[in-house]
Amino acid sequence: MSTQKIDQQAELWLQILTSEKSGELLGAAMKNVADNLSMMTGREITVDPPVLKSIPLSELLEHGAESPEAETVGIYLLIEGDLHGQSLLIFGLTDALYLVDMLMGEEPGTTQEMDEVAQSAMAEIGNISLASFLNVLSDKTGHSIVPSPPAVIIDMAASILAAVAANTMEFTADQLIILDTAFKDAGRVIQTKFWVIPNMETNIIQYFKTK
Amino acid sequence: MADNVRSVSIGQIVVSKSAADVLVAYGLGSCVAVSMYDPQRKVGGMLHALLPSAANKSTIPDNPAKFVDLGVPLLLDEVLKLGASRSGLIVRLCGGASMLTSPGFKNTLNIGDRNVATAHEVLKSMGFSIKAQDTGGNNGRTAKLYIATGEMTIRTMGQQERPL
Repeated sequence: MSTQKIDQQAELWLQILTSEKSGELLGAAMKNVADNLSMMTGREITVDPPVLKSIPLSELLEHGAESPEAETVGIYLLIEGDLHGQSLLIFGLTDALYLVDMLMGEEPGTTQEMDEVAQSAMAEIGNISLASFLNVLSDKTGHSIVPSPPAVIIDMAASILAAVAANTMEFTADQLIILDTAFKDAGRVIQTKFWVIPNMETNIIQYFKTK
Repeated sequence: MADNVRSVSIGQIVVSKSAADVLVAYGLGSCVAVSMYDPQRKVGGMLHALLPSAANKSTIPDNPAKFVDLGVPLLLDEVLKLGASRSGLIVRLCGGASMLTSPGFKNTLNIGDRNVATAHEVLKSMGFSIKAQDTGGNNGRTAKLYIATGEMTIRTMGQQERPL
């Protein structure tokens, strides 16, 4: 990618994540995520205010998982178009199964394993979440920002988190910059992490260093 | 004797000559673990590396053990310091899965494959052959090295530990 394009991306990421209007912009984007997920599941889903974090590699696990081998469902998408990055939704296996039941209108406990149908339901959750978030960013900035198709990964928490970290850390130092938030349903049964990770070709690291 | 579990986190090298120790790299995804073990002296070590090599070659990174190419020679130094004999070392390799795959992705970085390829290259250039390996695929693994016996095991999600 040309230096000029990288500069443009860096500028756009910084505008979205760190400008005076970021709070309002990100709040509106997350509200859109919550509204669309609520509509999709028929339950009230709330999304915590997003927080921009710089996480050292050595602390990655404690931010993303209860234990490194915990059975985890990750929904992974790329951010494409005028802005490049990654996004990851992280569910404990039990939460993911519960969410699939919610989507299918089944009694909780009906879905026992992440079969093909369950995986495609989870993929749809990933689609809706990231697309709802990016649509607001697109509208407000006038840039084209779109999600890739999702990958659903069912594996140990550490494996998923490290693979995502590796994709950005190829270009950077020992820290991962993430926009961190969580979804909850009204009954607080489900707690999900929703991460948006800017590509580190940009100078966001620099922002943290000078702050 | 009770096992004393010593976690080898990303970007870390752990070495030991204590028979109770079990070195464990939890949930290796695209990361690789390289282990070296001297069965005579019962000294062993493990590296848990995230990436094949540092993108910027001109500076030494803060944490060289994050990289396969820099981490493997450091692992060797550490086990030798602890009394291992270079000629007797058993070298094993695991991890390097492709975790983030989807038909929709045009371009994946294949970090897992590159980690494994780099480990092969570096070990070969140092004159080591790999005695056993469990690499590639799409699943995460937990790798353990038992210092008392030199036995290594692999576990994938939902499965029991099995010998490597």
